[in-house]
Amino acid sequence: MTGLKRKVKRILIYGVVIAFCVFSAFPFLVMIINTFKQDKDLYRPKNNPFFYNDPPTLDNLRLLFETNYTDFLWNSFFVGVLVVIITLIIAIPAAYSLARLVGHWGERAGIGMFLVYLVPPTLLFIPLFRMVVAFRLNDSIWALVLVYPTISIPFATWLLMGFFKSIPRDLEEAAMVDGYSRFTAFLRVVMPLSLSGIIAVVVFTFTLTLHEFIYALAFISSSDQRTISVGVPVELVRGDVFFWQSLLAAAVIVAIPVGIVYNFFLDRLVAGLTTGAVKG
Amino acid sequence: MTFLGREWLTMASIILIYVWRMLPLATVILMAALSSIDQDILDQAEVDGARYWRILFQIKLPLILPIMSIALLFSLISTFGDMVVVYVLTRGGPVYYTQVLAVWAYFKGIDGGSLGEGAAIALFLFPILLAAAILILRSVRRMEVI
Repeated sequence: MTGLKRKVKRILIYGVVIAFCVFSAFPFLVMIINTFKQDKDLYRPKNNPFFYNDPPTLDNLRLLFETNYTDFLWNSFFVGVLVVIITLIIAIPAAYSLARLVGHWGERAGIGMFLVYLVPPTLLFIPLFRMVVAFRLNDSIWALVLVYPTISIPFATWLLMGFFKSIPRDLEEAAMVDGYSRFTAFLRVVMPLSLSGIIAVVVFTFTLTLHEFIYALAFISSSDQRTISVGVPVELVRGDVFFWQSLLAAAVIVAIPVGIVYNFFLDRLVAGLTTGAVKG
Repeated sequence: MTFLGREWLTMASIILIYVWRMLPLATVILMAALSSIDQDILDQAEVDGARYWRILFQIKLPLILPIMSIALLFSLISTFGDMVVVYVLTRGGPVYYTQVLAVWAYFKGIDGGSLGEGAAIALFLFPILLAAAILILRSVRRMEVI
């Protein structure tokens, strides 16, 4: 009787997990299948959407790379790396000093930081647009390098603050008694212990720059300066004509490497998000 | 096109896409929360004769409630302030059926060129976000007690 019960329980658990996975992975499956489809195959409603009723083709990929797609890839990568560096340079010292040095005001500043993070980009793109124009940065990816840290730094600081708080003060003090300065103590003791948080910040910031849409759409209008998230829909949706296969290919080419990297860091990312949240 | 052309299907599609987008992150956060529960507490409850549902509703859920509310409000805020899905899929159409504040603000402010009008529309996002922010902060507070 209990054996049967356990079996039912297992089947239920696996059923839920499998349903969940299918729901999550389904769009990727559709993207990959449709990338290689011919137009007449894709547009005939009678064809089974999950098979190649006509032989698969590489034409759509060729069309994709005839646009500025490689420029978009490079722009996104370039902006992403720069924004990650800027974020780390500003957020790590900020978080550390908020966690350790300023005492009671640190907490209030942290809450203020969190409030700022909650203001969505949509609310700010109009004032920022005026700033970007005033700096004569419109139509250049440098506008994004300037603007993205305003989203990523508050979050990064808030998250790292939780990490630094969770490291006992005694550890650094012991290191300082042994002759380290505060800076080397921070570098040698605190940083290695909060590596999960730093990785979470890097991953979060980089994916933010990859999928951010509204600033990239509002601030940049010349094609070779666009990032992937905006460039692809703008180039491949011409009026009412959607180049579906190439659009899907563009999405898959970016999504799969990012997904793989995410999986490597998943545990640390989770640790980063939850520790930051609980101790913040 | 027919799929995005029928009104309620349009809205349903957009909602489904946002669900799909938020689901993995929320799952991962909740998973971390669940695995951080002290096993001793669960064992003790079982010794005391609590069944599955009782453990779930009276021990596990209350313990992960703070993190759950973070996940909830995080998805609420990032969906509420988002414009990508609506902008790319429907541009607010058919007519105004799926229009959201963010996309409308973009059309008026950047495309239409009247920054002031766009800013006024975007400002209406603020009260709801403020309420959500206060809720988040309260749940963060509560977390420090645990």
